[in-house]
Amino acid sequence: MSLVGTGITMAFGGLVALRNASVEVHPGTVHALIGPNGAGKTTLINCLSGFLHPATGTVVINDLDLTSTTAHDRVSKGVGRSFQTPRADPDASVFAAVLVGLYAQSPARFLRTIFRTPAHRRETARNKTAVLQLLNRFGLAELATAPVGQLPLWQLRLLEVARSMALAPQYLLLDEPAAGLDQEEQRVLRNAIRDLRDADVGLLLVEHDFEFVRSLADEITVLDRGEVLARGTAEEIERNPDVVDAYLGVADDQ
Amino acid sequence: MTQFINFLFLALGLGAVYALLAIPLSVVFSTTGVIDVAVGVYATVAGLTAASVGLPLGLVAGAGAGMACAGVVGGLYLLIGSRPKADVILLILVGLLVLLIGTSVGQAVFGVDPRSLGGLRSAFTPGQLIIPHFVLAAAAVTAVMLLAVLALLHKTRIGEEMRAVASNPQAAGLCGINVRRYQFAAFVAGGLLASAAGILLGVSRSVAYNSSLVLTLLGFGALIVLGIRGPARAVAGGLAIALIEVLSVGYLPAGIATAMPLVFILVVLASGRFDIHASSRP
Amino acid sequence: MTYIRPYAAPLVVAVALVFLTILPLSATQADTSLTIGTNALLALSLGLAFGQGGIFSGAQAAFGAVGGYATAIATTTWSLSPFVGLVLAIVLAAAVSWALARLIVRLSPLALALATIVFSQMLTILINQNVGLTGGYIGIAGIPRIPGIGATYRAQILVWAIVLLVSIGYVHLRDSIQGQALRTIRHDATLAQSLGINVTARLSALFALSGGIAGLAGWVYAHSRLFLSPQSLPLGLSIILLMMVVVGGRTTVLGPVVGAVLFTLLQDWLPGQQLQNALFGLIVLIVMLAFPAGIVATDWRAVVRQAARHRRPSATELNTPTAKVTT
Repeated sequence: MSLVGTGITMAFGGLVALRNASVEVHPGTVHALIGPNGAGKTTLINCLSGFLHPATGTVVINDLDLTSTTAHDRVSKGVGRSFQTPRADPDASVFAAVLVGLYAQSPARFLRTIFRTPAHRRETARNKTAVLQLLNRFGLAELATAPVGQLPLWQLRLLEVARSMALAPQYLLLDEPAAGLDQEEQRVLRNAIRDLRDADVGLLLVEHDFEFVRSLADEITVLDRGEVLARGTAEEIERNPDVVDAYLGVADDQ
Repeated sequence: MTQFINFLFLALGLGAVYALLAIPLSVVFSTTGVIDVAVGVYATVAGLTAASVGLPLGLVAGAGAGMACAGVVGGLYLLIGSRPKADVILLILVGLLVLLIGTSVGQAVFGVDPRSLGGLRSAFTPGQLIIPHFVLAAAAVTAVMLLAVLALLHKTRIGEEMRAVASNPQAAGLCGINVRRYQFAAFVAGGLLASAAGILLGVSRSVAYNSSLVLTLLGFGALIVLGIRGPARAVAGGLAIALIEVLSVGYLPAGIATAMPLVFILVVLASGRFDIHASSRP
Repeated sequence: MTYIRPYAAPLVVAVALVFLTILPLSATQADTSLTIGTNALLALSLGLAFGQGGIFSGAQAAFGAVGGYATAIATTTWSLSPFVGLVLAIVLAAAVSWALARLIVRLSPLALALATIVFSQMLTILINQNVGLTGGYIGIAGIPRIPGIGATYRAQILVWAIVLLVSIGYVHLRDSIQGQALRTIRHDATLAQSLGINVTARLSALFALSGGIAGLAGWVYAHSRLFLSPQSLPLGLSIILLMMVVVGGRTTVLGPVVGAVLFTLLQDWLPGQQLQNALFGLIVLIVMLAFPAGIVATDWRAVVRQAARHRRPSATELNTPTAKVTT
């Protein structure tokens, strides 16, 4: 049982963003994907989640080959993702923003909604409970009616995690969730991610900052210029001379 | 077989006319980012005016009327597009409104009956072939106009600055080019070509107050069939649309024949080839 | 109170319906009410497609024509009951709009708008050309009345009752998770996809719903006017519907209805089409530039406050002498 991307090559015109890249994510673990800017980390997430279709390579989720499926189909197969820049309607309420994450699971049909059948009403009540539970879990319960635009960045990130969890994913691909957060905020985020890992979600964490992932990751893949440079535990990565050359030399100075 | 060749000649003539509608759309789109859905109005106004005034003065009167309309509408677009709150929806609505107003004004001024400008109704008939005079006239006019436009764009200083505006209005403005003036000129020059289209139609068939919409749609179809890039492709697109129209009317049952060009345009649109991110450039 | 608040728009419509039922209306008034009601229904269908789905459709009147002709042909040529015609009208219009949506829903706003206009023109040509089926440009006459509804007076009550039902359904949709999904699509289609929302399918379904409602409007039109021609529900009406929705408030439930009332009354009162169209254009321009959200959606209290602030000088200004005292 895992999310496996194998031999993925993705090119944009003449620029090869990924070359024969592979990664494997297991439930209940945190797999970090690090590398300098332009290494192809976001591109790999896009390929795994179905927003890009690579020239070669496969994406297999729990032994199902999903390489040619669409992005929204992959959600139903258990893959959720976030984006580098937080995406949420600033005018919507926090409650509504998380609620829409439940959409994929609800068999809501137009006719049932328009006539507000008892079945629809029951489902609405169930959704409400589920959303409040999620908000509670990530410390956003008091902000349920607040407009999303008022949230500071770190709570926006938590909102995104909460929304992603509404999808009930088996695998969650997070794209630089710690970017722009200070130490304390990063700590809160790290705890949230640990929480998810303990709930048996398989996490792929794209991060620029090695320090953030060091205590968190069970396994780390280093990408450089579209290729997998190294793979291993945090300690092994730190000691890898290629990695230090290409990347960690810079990170250590921070 | 001869019938088929006759159809081809017919398509050549019509295609030339549609090209004269597509080129203004192309030029205006390049310089302003706006698809001017009112282009059919200029053609119709020109054709109706010319038909009412009669030859030879009608040619000038028609062209003048068409260009005047183009100027007014162009000015309107530029005025609205320059305001910070302008968005695509507004510009589309304005264009549709002009179409609506043009049709009703046309009806009020010219009545409901189609008008035509006699003059080019007969044809050369070498052997079995029928080559209508208007086909040659239309082809000649379009060829001359196309060459003039291409020469202007690629061989003159004005054309160079126009192309600069087309590729990047902000940068062109920073270089001291009067972007507004060129955009306005694009509208008016386009109006001249559209007027020629309307007059040619008036001379060969007829023009009525409600021709505006159809002409706009056909001109638009000619524009997108082979890609929006440049006047030459617009001409080829015009020929393509005309060919579909003529062959459909010739070979398909009357119930669907006249709708075929539009079906084709819809299919081309649906294929996503016309993939512009329409922006209201100032 | 919190239970009633979401239903504000249907409540307004309900009040209007009550008045229209109990007040004695003259023949012309009933006729106008019928026109406004049919336009309101069409405008609501556009509100759903455009306001909720972001689909700038210039084909709503065309879908109405599909519904209208479906029932006209069914009840005249095939002598079926108007209630069979009702089912045909809605289903056919919904099917046609769904098919169109699947083709064009991914396009940019301009391309999409043009595609709907191309479709509308296509339909007009098909109606005009297939004389055997549709009566060509002469149209179909002698369409039977709806049993029990009869003349214009009852028909206008019926149409406003339908408007009421549709507005209630609209509220239900807007306030549901479906509505939230649509808002998400409108705001950020990529985000929607990442949440498992099949954008194309959702928008196509929405457009089918919108088309079905337009078809329903066409059915009402056919069985109340008893005559249908290509001039009944033309492209020009589609364009005015766009204006109604934009001016009234595109994302609101009441906005399209308000827009329909406004523009239909103006059409009635203003002599001459040119004047009407010119005035419509002016209204659209003013509203879109000054109140882009539309009449119903604008926060009028804020607008009034803003205007008041500009007009009245502040108290301090009044008390300070304007001339400097020189020593």
